[in-house]
Amino acid sequence: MSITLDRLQRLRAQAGHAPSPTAPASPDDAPIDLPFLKVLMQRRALRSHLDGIDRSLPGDEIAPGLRLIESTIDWLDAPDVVDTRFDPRATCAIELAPQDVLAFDTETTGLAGGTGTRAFMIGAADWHQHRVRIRQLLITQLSAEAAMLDCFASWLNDATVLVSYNGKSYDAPLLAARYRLSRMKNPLAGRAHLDLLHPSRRRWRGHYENCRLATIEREVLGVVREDDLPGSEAPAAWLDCLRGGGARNLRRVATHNHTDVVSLLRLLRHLSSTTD
Amino acid sequence: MLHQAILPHHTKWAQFFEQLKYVVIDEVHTYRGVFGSHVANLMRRLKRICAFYGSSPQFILCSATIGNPAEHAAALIEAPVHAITDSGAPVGEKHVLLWNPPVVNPDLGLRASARSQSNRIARLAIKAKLKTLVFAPSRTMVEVLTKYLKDVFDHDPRKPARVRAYRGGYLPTERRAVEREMRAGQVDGIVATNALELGVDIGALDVVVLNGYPGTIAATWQRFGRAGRRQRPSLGVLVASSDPLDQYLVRHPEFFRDAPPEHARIAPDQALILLDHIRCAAFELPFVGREAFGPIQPAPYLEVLAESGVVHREGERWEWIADSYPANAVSLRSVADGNFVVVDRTDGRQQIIAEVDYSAAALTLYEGAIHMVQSTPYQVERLDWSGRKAYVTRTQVDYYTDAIDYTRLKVLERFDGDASGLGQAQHGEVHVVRRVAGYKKIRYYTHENIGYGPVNLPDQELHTTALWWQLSQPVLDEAFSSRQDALDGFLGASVALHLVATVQVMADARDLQKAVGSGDGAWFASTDTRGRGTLRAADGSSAGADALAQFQPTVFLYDAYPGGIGLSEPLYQRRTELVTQAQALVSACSCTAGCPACIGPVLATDESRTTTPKQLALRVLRLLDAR
Ligand SMILES: [Zn+2]
Repeated sequence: MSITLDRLQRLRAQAGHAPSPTAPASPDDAPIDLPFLKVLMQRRALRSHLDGIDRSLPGDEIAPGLRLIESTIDWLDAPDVVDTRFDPRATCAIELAPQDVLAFDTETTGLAGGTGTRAFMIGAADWHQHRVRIRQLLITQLSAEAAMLDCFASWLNDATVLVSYNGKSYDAPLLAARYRLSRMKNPLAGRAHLDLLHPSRRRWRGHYENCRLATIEREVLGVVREDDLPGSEAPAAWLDCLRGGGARNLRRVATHNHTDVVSLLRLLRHLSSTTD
Repeated sequence: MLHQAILPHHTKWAQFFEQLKYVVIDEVHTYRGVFGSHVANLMRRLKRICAFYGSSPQFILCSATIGNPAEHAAALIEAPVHAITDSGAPVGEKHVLLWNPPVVNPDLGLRASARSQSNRIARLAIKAKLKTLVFAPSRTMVEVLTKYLKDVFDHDPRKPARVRAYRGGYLPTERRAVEREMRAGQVDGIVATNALELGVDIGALDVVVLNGYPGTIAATWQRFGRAGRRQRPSLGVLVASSDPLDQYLVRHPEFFRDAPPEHARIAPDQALILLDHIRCAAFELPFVGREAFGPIQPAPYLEVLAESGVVHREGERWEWIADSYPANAVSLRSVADGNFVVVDRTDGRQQIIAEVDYSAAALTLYEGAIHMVQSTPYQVERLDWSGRKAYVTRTQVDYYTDAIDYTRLKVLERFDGDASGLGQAQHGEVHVVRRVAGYKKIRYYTHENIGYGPVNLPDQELHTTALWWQLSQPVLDEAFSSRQDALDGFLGASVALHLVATVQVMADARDLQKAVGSGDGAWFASTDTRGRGTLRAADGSSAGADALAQFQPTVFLYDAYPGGIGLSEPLYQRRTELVTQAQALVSACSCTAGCPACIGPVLATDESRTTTPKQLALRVLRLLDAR
């Protein structure tokens, strides 16, 4: 039997697969005309331009499909040294120079895990020339992933110590898989990494409803987020934009990520200064 | 493990894949049908990942004896194989005994139970100081047989046990203890389920007794292989149950003596199975350009996946973008994912006790059905069709249920055809509509029909492949005195053809189905409560054979999965053999008018008919015989 889309969907229904919204409900219905559908979708994307759907994104395109969003803030001073004794499992020096610290956070296509999950945004914050510098990489097409990974790698030097929230279990392994899939050397491998989740848990477990970054941020640092996009909606925001939809929610993801990496540095400073 | 854990996380296994040299696949004779087709696709995925890491491992496959080991192995890994079919190890003499329990009720064709005979043979063997292993089909049967043997050999509790049971459900420590005792030679008799099969070392034995046919000749040999130590002679005994397949096998010792008749078949390009694995593969690595999946160009499948939003096409690349983990939704044992779960709510348990394929649900899970799980009977109280759940409670009844289903087939396309005796044999695509209209309650042992129940379920539709035989109206008019006789003949012939075909392709009976109808979907036939053929029109109402303008009965054997699972094509290639074997089966059967072991059950009154259903079936088979 030769295979066609129509036939495949009919067989799926016969095998007990619930019909997908676009699949014909019964074999009598008109089969789906794929080329026609594609034209429709292209028209929709085109119309979104004409209708003035807002697809603008912050930052500059530094490679095809790769945007770099750079900003600075000057109200968060660097400590003289970062005291890492708050993390008994730290593998770095007890005292770090603040400019060697790089806080990072990724936004991903989901939580399913495995090789099918990717990062579409990598944000990082560091103390650079007496200010906090925030750099965020965002891909608007899948083929830009390698360029994004390459650029992120270039931000790390031999002295760089990573700072994250749950990054040891989540972001770092995910990026390791992505570097592997792109056949690139993983710049995170073997690097010192301060994951603030575990020290935060030790210190504040039972004090607050949970130990998520947003909670600690609010309760300990007094940060209040405005119009924050829940993390669970980030994948859909990016996919929408990838498929030609509007970019408003994706901009909110960028803001969310921006807040995350700044909060990481604030939390690091707090933990470091309150070590006994 | 490979399917759901390793391949979807292959980057964590990067070093392993880079250095992978050998892939060993054991017991490949069990990788056939639906399961085998999945495994072949799993190998495609494995090779794809290996290629990514630059390795190209060598495959080593092991199989129990089947008729086409090299062909089957090559189909599984899609590469040429070199078959090694001779063993260099010295072996003692091997004896095989096929044991059909004696007839205890000649009128009903009832034989003594396989259990009582297995018990008797095992008792004799242990008394003769032979180390003996008995395989039983269920856990309950293991316990029953163990008790019988212990009553004889372990009545003195001060002595160490001579008989032990071994089955799933025991604690690992308990199992290890039994294995140790067996290897040390302390135990004389062991009763086991197939939990014992997978590489468990219990030392060598003298006698293996199989309580019932394990389903394939290959599996039979594999179990017999447990016997035989250090060149000493060994004995394998197959005790046949009353199951038609058992009865067929036990009367054909040549299946065990000559070349193995079983051919393992897979259909790796089955559309739905392919779709499942292309989905998993796209998750593991993007498809780029014209990259093939095995011999398949995956584009149409990727279009379907793009359509449902799980992959995204960008230029030459198809990339996974969904937040899901497809391998968890793909079961290697079934086609597509519409499985039903069986929920036991006895005393408020609400516990899942079994899963049933979508294709089998309508036939086995209708409300009122007695559903057996591990030989414990449960009754279906409520069937939630759209929620794919059947709620059952434990029950104590003296009957089982059998669905009354009407199957209507319509030929959509002929792929090939040939003369078959005075008729035609053909192979092609069919449209199947099956309706379960009700069920019969059948009492155990006597098999009498003690009641009916109604069933109200949606029709099941299926586009699949089939082979079929038909005889033209003039031939039938000359050979049969009435259309009713011809119809009865076709129904009986369908049972015999189905039985011999099941052996040929090592199919589970439910993977290959049979039907008798008109070929254009105008009418179909079923066996009524009196064992007589009844004609039904397309809407299910009964119709008279004589009233039809055109009467051309057709017997179909079809793959019971949407899109087919590759059984009917090889069966078509062996169509002549099938008719010959079916004829031999029926004519050699010791019954008078027909029985479950040849043409299906008949009523006692049929024995007094001038022409018995058995003769009618034989007449159809002779007319189709091409020799
Ligand atoms: Zn018979």
